[in-house]
Amino acid sequence: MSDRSDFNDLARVAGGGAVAAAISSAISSSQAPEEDATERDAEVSKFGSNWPDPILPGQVPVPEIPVDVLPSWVKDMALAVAESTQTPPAMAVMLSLSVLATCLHRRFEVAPWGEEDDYTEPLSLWTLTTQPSGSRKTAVIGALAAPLVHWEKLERDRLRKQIAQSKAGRLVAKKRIEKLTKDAVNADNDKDRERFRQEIENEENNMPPEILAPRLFTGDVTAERLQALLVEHDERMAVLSDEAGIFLIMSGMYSGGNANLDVFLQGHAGAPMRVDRADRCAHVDRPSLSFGLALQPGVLADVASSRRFRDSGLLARFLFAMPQSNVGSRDVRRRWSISSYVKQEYERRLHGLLDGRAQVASKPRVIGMTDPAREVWLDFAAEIEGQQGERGGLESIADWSSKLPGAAARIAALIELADVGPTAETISLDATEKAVRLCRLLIPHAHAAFGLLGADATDTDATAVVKWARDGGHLSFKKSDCQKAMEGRFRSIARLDKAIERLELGDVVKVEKVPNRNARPTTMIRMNPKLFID
Amino acid sequence: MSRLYSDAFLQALADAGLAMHKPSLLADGSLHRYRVDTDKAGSTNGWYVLHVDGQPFGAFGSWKTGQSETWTATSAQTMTDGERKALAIRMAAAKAARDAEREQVYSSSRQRALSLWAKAKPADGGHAYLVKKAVPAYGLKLLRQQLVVPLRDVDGTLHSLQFIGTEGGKIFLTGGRKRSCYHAIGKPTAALCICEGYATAATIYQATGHATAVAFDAGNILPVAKALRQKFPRITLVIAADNDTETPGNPGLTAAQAAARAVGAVLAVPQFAGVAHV
Repeated sequence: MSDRSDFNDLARVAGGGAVAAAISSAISSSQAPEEDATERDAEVSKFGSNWPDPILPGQVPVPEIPVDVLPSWVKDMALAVAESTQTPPAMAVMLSLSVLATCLHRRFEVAPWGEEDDYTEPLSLWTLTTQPSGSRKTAVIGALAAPLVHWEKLERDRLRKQIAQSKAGRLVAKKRIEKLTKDAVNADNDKDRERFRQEIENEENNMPPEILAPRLFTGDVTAERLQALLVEHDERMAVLSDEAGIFLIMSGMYSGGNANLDVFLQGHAGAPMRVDRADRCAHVDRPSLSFGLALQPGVLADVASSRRFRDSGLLARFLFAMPQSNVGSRDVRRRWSISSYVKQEYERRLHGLLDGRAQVASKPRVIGMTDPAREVWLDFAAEIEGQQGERGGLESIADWSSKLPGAAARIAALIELADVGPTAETISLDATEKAVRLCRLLIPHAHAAFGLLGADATDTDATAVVKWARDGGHLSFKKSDCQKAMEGRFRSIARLDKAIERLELGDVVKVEKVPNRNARPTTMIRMNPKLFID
Repeated sequence: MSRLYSDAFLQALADAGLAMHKPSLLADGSLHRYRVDTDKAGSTNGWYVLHVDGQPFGAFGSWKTGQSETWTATSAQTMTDGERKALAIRMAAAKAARDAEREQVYSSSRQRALSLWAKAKPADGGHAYLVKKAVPAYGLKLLRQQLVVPLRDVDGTLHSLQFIGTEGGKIFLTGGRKRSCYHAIGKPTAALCICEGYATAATIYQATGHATAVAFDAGNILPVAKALRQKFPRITLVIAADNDTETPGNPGLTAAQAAARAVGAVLAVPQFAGVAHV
C-alpha cells in the first residue's frame, strides 16, 4: 500500500495545516462564495484553537515579584508605595533592595562559607526595573529614597560647622603655601629658601582634612565624576535614578562606544581602583557601587546595538525586573496615601542602618551564614549550575546566571541586616530562603531582559526562524530545509536545534519525527497556526 | 441434487468471491454456514440457502462482508407466473431464515463485543501504532496489546470491535456487524467528516476539530454516510477519501465519490502533488 494515500499520510509529509486546509477548502467549495473568506478564517482559527497561544522569543511571561520577600518594615513601605502609585510591586521591591544596599554596602560583606573563609561577596547590588513612560517611576524612587535625602540633610546640618572650619583652614593653608612658594622663589640665599621650604612642608602636613557633607547616592553622573564621588564619599556610592543617562554612559552611547567601564566593574566587585585626579592620586581599596535604576524598556533596546556593553559583563551584573505595566488600567479615582506610620517606621529603620556609618572607610565586617542557610544557598547554587550547561535552561544567559548565587548571598545579607540591624551576627535561614525565592523569580525576568537587549543569541536565532516561516508561509517544514534556507545563520544544525528548542518551549512550534521506510526518520517542524492568522 | 444445479450454485459462490473452502451443499431450503475459501480456518462467515425442488433457487452471502446474493437456475423471464410466485415465496422464506440467522449471529457478536470491551483498558497514546501514526487515542481501549476500536450504530449500540496490532494489522470480531457501524470522534457541530481508518480520522479531528466518523473500509463509507445523513440531515458531511492512486480503480476514491453523490456530501481528497518527499 502506498504511504501517500490518506490524510494521515498528508499530515506526516505536510503537517496538520495541510489537512485542515484541504478539509476547509472542500467545505468552502460547497458554500456560497461570499462566505469563503470568513469560513476559511474560522477553519484556520479552529485548527489553531487546538494549539496553546504561542509565546514568541522576547515575549517571555514574567512572574510577579511579591513584596513579602522583603523584611517586614521594608515590605510595608514597598507595598504602600506600590499601592499609592499604582505601580507593579516589582519596581518597589527592586528599588527597596537598592536602597538597603545604599545604606549597607562597603560596611558589610557576606561570607557563605563562614567569616574565616576568603570568599566574600560585597553588598553592592545592581537592580534595573523597566517600566514605560508615565508609569510613576520618579514617584516610586522619590518615596523610597526620601529617608536617604533626609539623612544627608541631617548630616550636612550636623557637620556644617566642621565643614566650614575645615574649608577655611584649608583655604588659608593653600594661600599660605602660595605665598611661601613665592617667598622661596625670591629668597636671597639658600638658607632662607630652605626655611621657606620647611614652612611649606609644615603647612601641607598641618592642613586640616577635607570634610564634605556625606552623599549616599547620586542620580545622573558621568563615569569620571562617579570615580571622584567614590573617593570623596568613603569608597561607596549609589546611583538611584529613573534617568537613562548613566545607563547610556555605561553603554558608551555618549563616547563612541568606548565608555570607561572600569569604575563600574570594580565598584560591583569591590576590586581596588586607582584614581588620578587633577590635584592628587587616590587609591580606593574596596569601592562599593550600587544601582537602583527604573528605566523605559526602549532604553534597553537602544543599547542593544552596543556589542562592547554586552560583552563587558556589565549587563550580567544587573538584576532585571520587567513587570507588566498597568498603565491604561489604573483607577484614576483611587488615591491611597502612604500611611505616616509606615513612612516614619521606614525612615527610622533606614536611619538606624546608617547609624555608626564611619566617615572614614574601614575594613568591612564579614557576616557568615548559618549552616541551614548555607545548605539552602548551596542547593540553589547547584540548581543554577546544573542549568548552565549545554542545552540547560540558563545556557543562553549563563554569564548572568553564574552571578545569581552571589547575588542571592548579597540579598540574604541585606534582608538579614535590615531585619536584625547592623549588629546581625549571621545570616539566617529565613533571610536566605527569601533571597533564593526572589532570585528564582528573577530568572524569567532576566530571560525577558536579555531577549529585549538582543543579547540572547538563541532568542535572536529563534526570532529569525519564525520570520522565515511566516514570510514563506511555511506552516510545516523539514529542519534541514530551514537550515538550508538560512545557512548563513545556521552553519551548524546544533545552533538551529537550540533555536527550535527555545520555540518549542514557547509553544511556537512542535517537533515531530516522521518515520520513513528503510530510512532514518525526518524531523518535521510544525508551526503554531495562530502565528499565521492575521 | 442435480450435479448441474450444484455446480452452477458453487460457480455463483466463486463468482461472488465467496467460494467454499470445502465444497459441500445441502439443498434442503435451510440456511447453512460454511468457511469462505479466503477466510481463516475455523470461521463460518459464509452462508447459503438452496432449493432444488421445482424451480431451483438459492441465496448466499457473508456475515463478514455483509454481502448478500441470490441465484436461480432459470432466468425470471422464462418462468411462468406460477413459477414466479412460488419463487417469490421461497425467496421471502430464505430471506426470513437468513435474517433470523443473521440476527442470531449479530446478537452473539454483540455479547462478545460487550464482554471484550468491558475487559479492555482505556488506551493512551503509547501504543506502537498510534506512535507510528502520530495520533492520540480517541475513545480506544487496549486488550492484550491490541488497540480496540468499537463499531457502533447511529444509536450508539456496540456491535463489533476492530483490533489493531502493534504492526498495524487489523482484524474484526468474527461475525460482528460492520455495515453502517462506525467509530465517532468528537461531537458534530457544523461539519462531520467520514473516512476509512482510525488514524486518518484522528488526524482530521486533530487538525480541524471537526467530528469524524471511522467507517473502517471503503465498502462501508456509503452505508455510514447514509446512516449519518439520516441522523444529521442538515449537517455538512465531508467524505475524506483515501486516494489509492497505486491501486487499480482507486477503490478509496471511487467509494468516496459514490458516497458523496449519494448523500450530498462534499468530497475532500488528500493531494500530494507539490509536497516534498520525506
